[in-house]
Amino acid sequence: MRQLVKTVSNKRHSLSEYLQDVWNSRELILSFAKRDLKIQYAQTYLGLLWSIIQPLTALIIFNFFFQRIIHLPMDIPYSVFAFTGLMGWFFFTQLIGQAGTVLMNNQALIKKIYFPRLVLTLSKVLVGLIEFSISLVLLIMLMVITNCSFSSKILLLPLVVIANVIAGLSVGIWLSALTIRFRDFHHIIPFLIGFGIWLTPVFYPTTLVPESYNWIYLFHPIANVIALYRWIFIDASVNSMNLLVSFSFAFLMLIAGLIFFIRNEKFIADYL
Amino acid sequence: MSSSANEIILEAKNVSKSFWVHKRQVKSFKETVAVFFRSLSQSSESFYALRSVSFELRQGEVLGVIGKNGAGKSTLLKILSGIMQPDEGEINFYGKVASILDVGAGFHPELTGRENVFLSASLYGLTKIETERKFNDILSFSGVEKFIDEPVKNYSAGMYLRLAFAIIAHIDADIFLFDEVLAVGDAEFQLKCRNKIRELIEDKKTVVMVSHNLSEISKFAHRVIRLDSGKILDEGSSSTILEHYMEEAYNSNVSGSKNSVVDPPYILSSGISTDHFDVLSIELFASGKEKTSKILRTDGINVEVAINKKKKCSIQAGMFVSDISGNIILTNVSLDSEDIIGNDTFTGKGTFSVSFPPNFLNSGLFSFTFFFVITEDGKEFDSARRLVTKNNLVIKINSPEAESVYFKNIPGYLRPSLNWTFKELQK
Repeated sequence: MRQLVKTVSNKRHSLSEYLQDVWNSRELILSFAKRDLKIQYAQTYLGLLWSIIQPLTALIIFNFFFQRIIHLPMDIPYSVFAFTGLMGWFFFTQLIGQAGTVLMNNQALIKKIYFPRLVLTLSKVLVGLIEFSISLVLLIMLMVITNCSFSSKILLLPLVVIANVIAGLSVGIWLSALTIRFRDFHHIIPFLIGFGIWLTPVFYPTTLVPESYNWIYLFHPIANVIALYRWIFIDASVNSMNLLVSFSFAFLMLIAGLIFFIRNEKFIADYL
Repeated sequence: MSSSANEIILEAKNVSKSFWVHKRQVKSFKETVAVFFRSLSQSSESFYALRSVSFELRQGEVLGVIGKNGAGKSTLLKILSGIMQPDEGEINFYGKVASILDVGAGFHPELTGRENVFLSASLYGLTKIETERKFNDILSFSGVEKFIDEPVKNYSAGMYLRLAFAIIAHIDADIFLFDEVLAVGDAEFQLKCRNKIRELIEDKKTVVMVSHNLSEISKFAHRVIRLDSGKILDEGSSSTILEHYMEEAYNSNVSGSKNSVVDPPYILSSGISTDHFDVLSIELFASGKEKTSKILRTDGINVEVAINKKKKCSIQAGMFVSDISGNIILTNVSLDSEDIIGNDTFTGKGTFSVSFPPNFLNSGLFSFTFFFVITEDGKEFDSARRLVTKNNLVIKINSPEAESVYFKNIPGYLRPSLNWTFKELQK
């Protein structure tokens, strides 16, 4: 007659069970994302526009530096080139930056109520997507102003955005889980983001990088996503070998990160 | 519904949880390395927050969990809610659980009342559709209709709590877990909470409540588990467990003062000795019985305070009777009796006497504190000194043996015999 609804024990949840649990909490992901967007821009005059002020400022500086001072040779407008890179880079760093801190920022909640903690990390993906789409609008405006042509490859954009999310989460989930135990990662993240941009072809083309350093991009989580954005928007060439290796690597890291996260999740309340 | 009334709805089997001492402290990588090397040479320390805790709950039962701070109450509740994982053992739920460890979980000050309702409700497991359906009820229950689209940071504390509680009141589940929820808010809010819990009990919901407030537990719980250092120390009907607990809590009272439940004869050495007088002894006993016999509710209680008066002055005696939480139930002063007032000129030994009539105080634990007010000859009471006994005398008033269980442990401090009458209606 009676039906077992729930069991609490130290048995490990399988990945699929956990993801099912997360799926059941999908409304919560949405609620958290809404909350975060609202809080982030509450009582600001510019609101969501703030999310593009950072990439826009970077763009202006790069534009000045690489066009007026260094005169980087380009057959397309440099601003469009740099912004396709910045767009992907900022989405990526937003994911790893937020994923690393989201659990700590929601301690009070975590100690008082149960929900799959991954929900918090995933809500940050939604927030990032909203901010990303504003950048996208800006890019399109920029392309129209500079008379760039649009190719039908733009239809593949959603797939590249997914690749961007996977790249972000493959690092972000690890950082999320690691920060629970070692708050050191809290300090490592800004450091990673600050220096990472130099190792990433955001404001320079990979053609400037000597062949012998090409291996860096083989495992680089975001470099190849940026290459794909450029392939779509400015018809830049892509290295399919790099793509294959880096995406498989990112995907494996994501799965391993999820498993690591699930194993550590049950201790979150003990550590906080 | 009634056929399933006695089914087991929750079973906890051998639930244990330990914390590694280093686990709780280590926050950085460097410390981990240090701890790792230390652990090679020393055995690592862990302490059990819960040790083999097992219990069962049947549908419609209300379980109270009591114990001192650090006894494991919160850990147990966190494990039941799924926030923490047990090291060993398992808990099976045969119904939907709602755990309410906090009023207003997930509330954010920047969000409006409406937004917070939806966020908080989704945290408690309500779907958006369910929340939409219940929204008007939640709103009218909360009484903050006018301000529902204002950020809650502009709410008064009372409005905030009312809105938060309105959500809790609309959660649908079979098993409810409460942690000290009744400890927040003003009297009106607490009344609302109590009514809600009563409603849950009437609806045959199963409730687990953790509280420091023993009177709260005694009001609702059918059964009580008492935890101590992570183990179940005592389990049984709420009245017996609470009585044990209160006596012990009193016996091991704070600051080493001797406020313990004593056996008869009930004698208090007051320690009061002044230039004007000494208090020789204070005694309580059942009127008309040996001083060594227990006091029953049906006995009158005699109070005798012997003093030795050394100077001319006026001395008034008084007493407070409190419950064991320290709430004063009644107070009495000899000044109110006319014949004692004329004692100014007397010096030497004497005794203040007063008595409670039979059937006045209810059965239970009562604490007696005595005080004296001295006024120098001819001076006003304004210049009086008040001396209070350092210790209090805690006595247990027993129910008469023959009394039926139904009438033995009914709550209340006073149980005077009032005259009830009954008239048959005319045929």
